Amino acid sequence: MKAFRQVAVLAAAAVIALACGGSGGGTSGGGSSSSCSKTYKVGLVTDVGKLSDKSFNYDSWQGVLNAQKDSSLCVQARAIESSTQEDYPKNIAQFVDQKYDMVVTVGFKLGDATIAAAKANPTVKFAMVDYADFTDKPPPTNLVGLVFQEDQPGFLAGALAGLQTKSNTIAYVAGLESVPAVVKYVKGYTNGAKMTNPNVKVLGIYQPESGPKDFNDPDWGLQQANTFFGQGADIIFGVGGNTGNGALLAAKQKSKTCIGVDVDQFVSYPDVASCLMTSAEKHLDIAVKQSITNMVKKSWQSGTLTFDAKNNGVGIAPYHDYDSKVSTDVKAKVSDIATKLKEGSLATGVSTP
Amino acid sequence: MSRRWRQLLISAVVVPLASVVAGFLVGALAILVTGSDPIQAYSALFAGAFTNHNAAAETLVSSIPYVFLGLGVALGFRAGLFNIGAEGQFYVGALAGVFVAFSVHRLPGIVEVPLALLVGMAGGFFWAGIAGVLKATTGAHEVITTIMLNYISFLLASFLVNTKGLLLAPNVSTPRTPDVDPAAVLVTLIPGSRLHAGLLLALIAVPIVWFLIERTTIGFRIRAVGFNIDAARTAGISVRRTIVITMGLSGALAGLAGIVQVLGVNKHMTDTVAAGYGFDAIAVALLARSNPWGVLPAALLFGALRNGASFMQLETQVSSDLISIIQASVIVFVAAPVIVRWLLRLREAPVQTLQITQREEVETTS
Repeated sequence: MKAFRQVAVLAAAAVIALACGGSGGGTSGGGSSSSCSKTYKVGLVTDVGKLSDKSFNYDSWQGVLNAQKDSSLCVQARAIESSTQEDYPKNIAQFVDQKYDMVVTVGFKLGDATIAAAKANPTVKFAMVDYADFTDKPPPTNLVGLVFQEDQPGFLAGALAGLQTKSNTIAYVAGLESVPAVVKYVKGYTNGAKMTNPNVKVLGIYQPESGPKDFNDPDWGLQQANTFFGQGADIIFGVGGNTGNGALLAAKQKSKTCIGVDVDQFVSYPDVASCLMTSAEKHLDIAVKQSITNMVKKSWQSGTLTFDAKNNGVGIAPYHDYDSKVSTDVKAKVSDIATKLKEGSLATGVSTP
Repeated sequence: MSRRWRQLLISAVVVPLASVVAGFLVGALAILVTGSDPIQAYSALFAGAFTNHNAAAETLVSSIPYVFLGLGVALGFRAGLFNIGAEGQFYVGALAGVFVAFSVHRLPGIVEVPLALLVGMAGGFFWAGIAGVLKATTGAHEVITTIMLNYISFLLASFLVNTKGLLLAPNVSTPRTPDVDPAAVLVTLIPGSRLHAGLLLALIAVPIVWFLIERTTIGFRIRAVGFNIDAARTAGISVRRTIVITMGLSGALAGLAGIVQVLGVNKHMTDTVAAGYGFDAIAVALLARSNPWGVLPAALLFGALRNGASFMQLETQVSSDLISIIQASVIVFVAAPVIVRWLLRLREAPVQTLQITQREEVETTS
């Protein structure tokens, strides 16, 4: 009986401790705790993809949330999802009207609206994710475009592909060649593969200009990937939105290996999880959090902020289901290349404009 | 109060109002389920729609396309035509109008604006007219044909706006048409807001459409066809011609909505310009019970919902998609008036199915 009572007391104590811990964790995440002399209000406006896109909008929002969780920043964050193109200026204005300190906008679709709002509201800071195509140069000093050095994650993905291929033939299916980010991914991929495997043959194709089907022709992507599989390729890099996703799907159907792009496609495109070795990633969350930190810490930089291996702004995603299929030796080689890219002792050989 | 007036009051005012209230209650349930406070959310929705800086003006901006589109769909309803294609007609009207508006130069606004508006209306008339002709000549149901024409118009817009050399502006970061000529822009009514002269056009359009339906020969034919096709035919009305003209006029109003949106708000067109306005408009017309005057409050409600949603999300992080739940619930209640009558214990009223043609107003002989 005595033992039972002791257990009961212990259990009660544990419940109380858990409850306190839970509530404590809840309040400290708010960012508006007493240690903050000023709370910085940060708003995020999505494009029509909305927060649940498991891709650009979602990852950018994670960056804002991470800033909010960081108690040294004193950030209070909110998001507005856009339904139409007319919403962009209006939703940005909502935050400006509410005296927000900073507005983060996701994607090139909000580019024009963001630049216009930045000019009209010089006291508010603006960050555009993955877009820095300013209409006039230099851009206003309260505006920053967060861009990424895509050749580096491409290089890492290529290096891994070069080590993993059994047929010494790898391939890519890419979006438009007129988009610099796509070309940087592809060239990095090719150079990375050639470095780890000088005998590798790299097959690949860019999608021709297809109007509305630019970056959005999975059937074409699937056909091209199948052609490359027929020519002996065993690994495919899909780098071009839905067009690239078509190539990933082909790899899954033909039991080949695929590599995703931009975000961890294990999460954003779970249908192809079984063929996905890794993804060449832009760390949008890190870039967004960095820009917020710059605003809070009064180290604001306007213009273009480039994220690369040095500041952990790019990288490759975890191996997930492929973890057991990639040997420790290969993993070590890839992480060694990542370290060298980070240190700057290794270059991808891709000239960046 | 006579029995007839009492019934009219119930069906035209009480039931729609109760449906709106019931719709908001369903929305409140959804907010509760997702762990937020409905009262806070609705307060923010109201603030975002009316009381915040520029909010009332923005609500009117969002309501303007709903007025034109709602009138268009309601006009079709009166002839018994279910025009699901307002969204597509909006696109075609916008495309046709914007082409004129960025092509013309050095003409006074008094010429350019009406020209663009007329071409936009012609675009919508033509697009809906296709469905009208198909119905009149082959009996193809307008619900099917207008849905199919929607897809064609979305892809047409995408093709024209995204393809080099057609309507795509050179040297832009996002695919869009060139900006319209400055003289073709609808003037801003309140400086510092986006409220444009389209509001005045919308306010003029309501009595015009009412007059058209209630006081003209074509309006009489439209109502007659909607009331009873066989009787209309027996009375010597050309049913086919009436169907084509009604669809065309319905589409012209949708096209007008498109070009007004372009000239007033965006000043250029992208391939995603409408984003659901045309489909919401079916709900607006149902809520208005196909009465042109009823379209005004219904459009204002939908505009307020659409506009207030973003501030609601900012304040309470309730997703702006909640609005769709409210709108859909309102329509369920409007379309099933029996539920509302039962809720309000209005037992004496006769049970009737969803009525889009307003029979009682044609019963002039009784």
